Amino acid sequence: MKKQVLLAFGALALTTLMSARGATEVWKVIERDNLNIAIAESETDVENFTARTSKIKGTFNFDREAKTGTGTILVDGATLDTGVPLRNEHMRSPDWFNFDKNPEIKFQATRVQFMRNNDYRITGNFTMNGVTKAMITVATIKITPANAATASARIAGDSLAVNAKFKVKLADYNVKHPTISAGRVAEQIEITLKTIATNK
Amino acid sequence: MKLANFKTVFLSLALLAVVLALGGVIASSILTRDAVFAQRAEKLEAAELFGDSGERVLLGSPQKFLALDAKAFLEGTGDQGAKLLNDVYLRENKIYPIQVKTVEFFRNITLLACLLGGGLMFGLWVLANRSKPNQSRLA
Repeated sequence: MKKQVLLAFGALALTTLMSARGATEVWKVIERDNLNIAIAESETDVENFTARTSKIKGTFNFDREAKTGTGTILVDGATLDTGVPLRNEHMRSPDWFNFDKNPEIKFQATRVQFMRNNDYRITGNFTMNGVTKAMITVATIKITPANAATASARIAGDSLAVNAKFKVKLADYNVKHPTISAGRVAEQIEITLKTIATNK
Repeated sequence: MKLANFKTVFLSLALLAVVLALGGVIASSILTRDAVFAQRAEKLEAAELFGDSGERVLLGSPQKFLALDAKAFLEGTGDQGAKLLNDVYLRENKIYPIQVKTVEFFRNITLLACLLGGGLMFGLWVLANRSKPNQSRLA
């Protein structure tokens, strides 16, 4: 009898564990320009300038019940546009971010911790200019079950909208240039990323 | 060669520095007279899915920009009540809005250069006035 009770508990625990595992869904970033945007801003006393792109890819493994997961986001740095063609060219050159050689800006989220409402603390690794550093950031993750809003955006399933900010110290990623020390480009830039993924 | 021989040059350069400094201040105030506090924004198809109000995504922080084409503005306001600048319109029309702080930075550089250069020239002019000019040996 005791053995049967133990087995029943074991089976229940296993079922619970399996159902919990099954709740992790795969969400793929919808690669459409009008759904995603990455903005990098440099703020100095001389000028603020922004660089933007919509070329974002990625996949998230996110459990909406447990509010945790992992994921990878890739931004094509070579497509960043500052509104000044010559500056874009400089950004892609080896003197700056070397996007011609390493176009990928990658954030690999290894740990997602729920904080409150739609806010999450994300721990992961940020890669730029071929250099990877550990980074912790706060992001909002909002899941919208398929409804009129998702349908009007031509999203097949539910949507998972991620809005994250990354503070990136350029010297940490081997981006060193005299104009940074001269104060014409900020030593630290802020990258804002907005992307929408779907589970279908 | 004595300083006194360059009195006119020093005074002219000092006056030129004053004129340049005044010109810089006047040009800067004319340029920034109709400046607009605005923030770049872009329409994103599903902005509401992010929980944002409206359909616009704000790009960067709000800034004071020099006067711009009225067509470059969108309805509504951004952070701190800033007007919305249509980033798509700016990109399509290759418009790069100049910020007031850029104009002010160059105005301040000009003022500093004029102050230093003009001050130096004025000082030399004062010294030149105290020294006697070279006398020609034939005179």
